[in-house]
Amino acid sequence: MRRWALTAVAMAACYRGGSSDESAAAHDDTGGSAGTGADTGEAQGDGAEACTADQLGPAYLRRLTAHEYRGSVETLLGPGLPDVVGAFPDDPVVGGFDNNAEALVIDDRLVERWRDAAETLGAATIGDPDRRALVVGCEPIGDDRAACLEDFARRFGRLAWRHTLDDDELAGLLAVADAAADDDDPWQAIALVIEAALQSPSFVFRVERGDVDPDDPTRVRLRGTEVATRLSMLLLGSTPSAALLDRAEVGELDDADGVEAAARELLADPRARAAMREFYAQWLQLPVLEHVVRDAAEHPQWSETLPATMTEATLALIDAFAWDEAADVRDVLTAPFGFADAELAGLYGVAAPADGLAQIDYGPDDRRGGLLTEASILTLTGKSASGLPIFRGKFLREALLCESLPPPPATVPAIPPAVEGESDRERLERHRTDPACSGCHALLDPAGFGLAEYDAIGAHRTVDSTGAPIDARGSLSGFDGFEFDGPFELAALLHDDPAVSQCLVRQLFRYGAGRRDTEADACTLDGLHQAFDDGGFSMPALIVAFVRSDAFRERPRTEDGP
Amino acid sequence: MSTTVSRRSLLRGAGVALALPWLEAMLRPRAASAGGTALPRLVTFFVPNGLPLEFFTPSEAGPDYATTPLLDPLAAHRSKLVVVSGIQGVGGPDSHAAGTSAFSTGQLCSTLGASGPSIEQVAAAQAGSDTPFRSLAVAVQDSGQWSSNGYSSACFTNTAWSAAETPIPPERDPAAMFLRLFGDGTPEASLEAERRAAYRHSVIDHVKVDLARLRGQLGADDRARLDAHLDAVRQVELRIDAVVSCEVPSLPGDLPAEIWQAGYYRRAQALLDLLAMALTCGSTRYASFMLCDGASNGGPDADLALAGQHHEIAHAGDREAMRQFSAVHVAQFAYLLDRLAEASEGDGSVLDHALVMMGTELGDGTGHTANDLPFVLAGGASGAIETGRHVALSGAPLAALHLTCLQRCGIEVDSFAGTGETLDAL
Repeated sequence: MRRWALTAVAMAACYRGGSSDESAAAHDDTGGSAGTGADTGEAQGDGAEACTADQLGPAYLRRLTAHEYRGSVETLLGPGLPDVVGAFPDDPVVGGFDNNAEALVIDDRLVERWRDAAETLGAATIGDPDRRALVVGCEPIGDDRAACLEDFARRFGRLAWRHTLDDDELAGLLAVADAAADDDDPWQAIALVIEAALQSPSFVFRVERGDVDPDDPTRVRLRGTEVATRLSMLLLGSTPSAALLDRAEVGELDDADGVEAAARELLADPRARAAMREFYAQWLQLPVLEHVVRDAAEHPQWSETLPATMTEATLALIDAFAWDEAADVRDVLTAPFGFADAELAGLYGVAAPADGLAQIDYGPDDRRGGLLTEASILTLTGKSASGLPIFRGKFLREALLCESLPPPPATVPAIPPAVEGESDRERLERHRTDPACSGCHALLDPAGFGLAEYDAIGAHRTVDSTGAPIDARGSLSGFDGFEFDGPFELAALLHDDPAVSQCLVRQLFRYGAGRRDTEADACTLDGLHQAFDDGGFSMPALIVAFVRSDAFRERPRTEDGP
Repeated sequence: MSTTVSRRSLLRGAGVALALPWLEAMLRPRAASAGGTALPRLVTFFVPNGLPLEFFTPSEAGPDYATTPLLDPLAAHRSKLVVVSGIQGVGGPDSHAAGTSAFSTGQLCSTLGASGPSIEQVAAAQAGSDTPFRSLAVAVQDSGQWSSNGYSSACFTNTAWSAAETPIPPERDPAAMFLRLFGDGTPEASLEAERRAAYRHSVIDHVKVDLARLRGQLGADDRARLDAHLDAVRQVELRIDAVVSCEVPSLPGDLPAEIWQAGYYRRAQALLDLLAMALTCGSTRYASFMLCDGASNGGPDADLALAGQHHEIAHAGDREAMRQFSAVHVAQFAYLLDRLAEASEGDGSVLDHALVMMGTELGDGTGHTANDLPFVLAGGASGAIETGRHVALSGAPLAALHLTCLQRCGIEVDSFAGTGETLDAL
């Protein structure tokens, strides 16, 4: 906790160098705390300290993300469907995550794409006898037609809308099916039920009605099916299965133990790996890699296939620590091994694995090991060859420490060009003698120096872009005694620092709740970190603590709501 | 004789392979100005990273200015342009997020997005409902959605905002845009098309009933989200039976793959062709076009002799390289003006009945300042703005330019982005 306070002091000093007043309005860099402007610069870190009252942060009506839409239709209609989601408009990214409920707006083009997607999926279902048999399970033909349509609408609607339909809801879907009564194709009515269900607000929104908590009238307790939906969306990236809805509807998810039991089962589902990778990838900014451009003349080892491999390798490293109850996930920072295929091993200068992507155990001379030496991280922070430490320091502070760095001021003086005989490091040091720059860059550059021995695509180097020998001594100002030489000392310090584990808690919370955290979430975050610590910093312990929490199972009651 | 035909019957001639650009075929627009009452179109055109002003700003004000290297690509349209210099932007932290947001809204970005609506959306909300599309948002660059420095990704990748913190994500795919505007080639009169339209109505009726039911079950914040959904659904509903009123070429079968491989600026021009088509045909009157994202680090282009990466170049202050990038960007603006100028309408061209505002997020890209923002206004808004001159201003506020553009386009607004000031010089 002490370190948070020190950091806050350092942050407040960031702009002390004589910039304009408006520049001091620090936005929350990680998209963490709700609210913008000057307040967030101070508020950062407070989440861990301000637990004074047991409160719940806000809950918003969440629109399905593209990822959740894709996962849900696969559960509903089976694998191997046409990719309908690629045509959806971009979901805005806030604070690194694309599932921020406040940012997920709806416009007419999205509604059209939902319509096109539903029509495509409806046609793909009725046009494929195997899929049709699997999904529909009866034939809407002859005397059986009415019963089949009703049975299908009831089952499909329940899965799509994540609760058992009431009479009005069922009648609504059947009325749409009726529009195809005269169609030459008797299956068209089935397609229309699919189309109507998938375009309904009950599908595209995660509706949470809840019931007023009898013990606390300021809170609304989510219904079992709504908890099932939160669980399944988080852990499987999909609408819940019929079996999970069954359990929810008999009350098995009405208490924390029941939710935990269900969560543990979902975590054992093979689909959980892919779903949770969505979280890890966005947290570590890995989607940026897909759009990285590097000059092949400058980096002969660069290739079009490397970014995807780098991403896969880092996620494999995380998977190695994120699933075992006995594993300390912080060890991902200090792991003496990583994953690579032949091409990435070539970049790393280590022996290529026999086949595909495989684990590589690093020796001391390999200068490799742990998350910070992953080519993915080093490349996505490798924006400019001579300014590498800046972006790497920014990554450490934002992604791993959840600090809210203010944006660059309104007028950015360029980093001065190098003078003859000056190293990259000396150039940045000279830049920091400008008081207008030193406030923030004192936080950024020395943090990034620890990774100076890797170039802009993550290859090891012994000299910087000017040919000067690497000097990897650095520090994290605001963190008492936090000085290091090189990536491994840096990683070891981060590994044991509570700021890092607290940040991971916050990042999971933001992703899981689909919103920025607020002061009202302070006690929740505190409790989660305690459970994380008690559980030996295992990810299953953190995830279980999260789904057991009041924040996961309840929401505040809104004054104007029914 | 009316040239109005249904959207699908246009496409009966499907299979006619057209080389790019698509719009060599003469458009036959609906006589939009025949009645003389249609409001001018309003379009924004965004280019990134400021401009090297010494290559842009004419030395002289007024009609007799000597052209400059960055105005040369627009020479053919000189009589239809107002070059505006000396606009004071809205400076704020992260000059790219601030400037990209302010370009069309006059306001800064917050964590969730711009702090107010963009000009073409203000116009669309007031006067856009008599066209099939209230507005169109189009962009070229796909540099990834990434939040930076505490700002939503939309602060860098959108210039269209229907309200504060409410981006309209742009369309980037020419083939998808073509289908959206002009249909899938199913003949309108066919049984198939009629049946499809009936089914769509049936599904939308159902969606509306569901929205009404949910609305009664949720709190005010959530109801606002449902209302946004309902508004979007109603727009889509109206389009089920909408007609496109000019002849358009069919979509060449191999276009989608070809266009994504054809190079950045070829794809930009395909999108501009479609935008021009939509504006000419009366599909919409209001649009935004982003040639690149704010802070674009658009890269080398062998065909155009562009080297390096634009944002890095701007920071480094390589003036000649900056000129080369910006010249290519202005040339794309010229391409749009060419398309609008060659489409005749009433006593002039579609361009004459439009106001197309080209601008960028910074003044001079190297200093990343919001001072001396450069703009070009093209078309004159059906004569509401006197064209053929350079209006040299000295610190006139950006929102005053916005408000002036809106008013000259016949939009009834007294203030925009908190200002009631307009630019008398225009």
